Amino acid sequence: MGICLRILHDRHEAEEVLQEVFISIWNRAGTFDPGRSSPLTWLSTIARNKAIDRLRSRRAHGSDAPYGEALEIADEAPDGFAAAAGREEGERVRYCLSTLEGRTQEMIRSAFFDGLTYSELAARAAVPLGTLKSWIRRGLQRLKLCLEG
Amino acid sequence: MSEEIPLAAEYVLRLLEGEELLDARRRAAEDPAFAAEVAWWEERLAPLFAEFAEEAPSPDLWPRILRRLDEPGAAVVVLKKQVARWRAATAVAAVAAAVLLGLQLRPDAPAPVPLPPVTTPAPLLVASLVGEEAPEALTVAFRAAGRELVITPARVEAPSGRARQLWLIPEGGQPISLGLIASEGVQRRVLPAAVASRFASGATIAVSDEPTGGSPTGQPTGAVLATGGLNTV
Repeated sequence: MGICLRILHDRHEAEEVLQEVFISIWNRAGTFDPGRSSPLTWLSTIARNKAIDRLRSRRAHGSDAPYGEALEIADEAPDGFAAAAGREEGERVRYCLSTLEGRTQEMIRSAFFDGLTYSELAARAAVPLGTLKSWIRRGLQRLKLCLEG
Repeated sequence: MSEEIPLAAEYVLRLLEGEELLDARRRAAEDPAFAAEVAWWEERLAPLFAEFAEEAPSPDLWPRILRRLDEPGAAVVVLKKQVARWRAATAVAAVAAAVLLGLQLRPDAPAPVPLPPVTTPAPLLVASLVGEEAPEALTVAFRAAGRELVITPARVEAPSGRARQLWLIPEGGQPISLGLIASEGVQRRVLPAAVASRFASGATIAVSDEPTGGSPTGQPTGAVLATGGLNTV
């Protein structure tokens, strides 16, 4: 629920999406591979993707608030349950992100937590799209090397 | 450093738009190597989900979802025939139920306290039970904090004059009754401390066929219809 609300900024919509998430889980249970990821990761991934789908279809209809507001909700209260589950494996991705340049790190985090696209990130940072893409791509390549290491 | 474009990561983060997005989607569907890369990134980034703030949905959301799943024509009917899919579905539903119900238990969430780095968190244990012969399918989730048991029947049916009873079987121990289960609706109960203390990963949850009113002996007397192992989530 936290995922949907952070991305959509609207309680009613977040709940609608959450409902869709659970329905689609029932329909797609066969595609869940217990050997590969935990049910919680699977659930969270679907929730994030569905929330972003909803966000983008809303933007396509031109009724969204400016995405500049996206950063106003802080990550203050981690879900204790998820935080506990992810703490150990989480060290790696958090460590690797922290090795990136501050600006790149922030942008990758905004992409993950707020569901922003390249062009939205570029507009927000007021830099040309090409420049922004090369920053993030370099960051992702370094992140990958670090995660593999 | 290689100049290769980290397309799988961009796709997982959902940075892409337009042509690039369509291209990545096509590759995810057609190119197994690319799909594996996508899965790799999803898994590596997943720990970040823990940083999303906790939010409780409204109390009636879960009942609303269950009602929608009960609608005629819902995929559930098809799923009933497929035990393998059921296993996955029930595992996920158990987590879902536990997450939803768990969050509702704390309407006044205390101010976030930094989690101490080494303590073991209060565990959430989940079992999904599927009968190999019997049609019984249900999920059981147990939160140590609050000693609360949440039972979500997917399919539980008792002929008239018979009842379905739930048991906890600790590793190497005797079955302990967890009470009768109704065939419909999410059921929540708070367990006595003595019973709650026996919940541990590795124990088994079972459903047995008993006379109305439950087993007269305190131990299962009828056939065991479905079992499932208890696992920490």
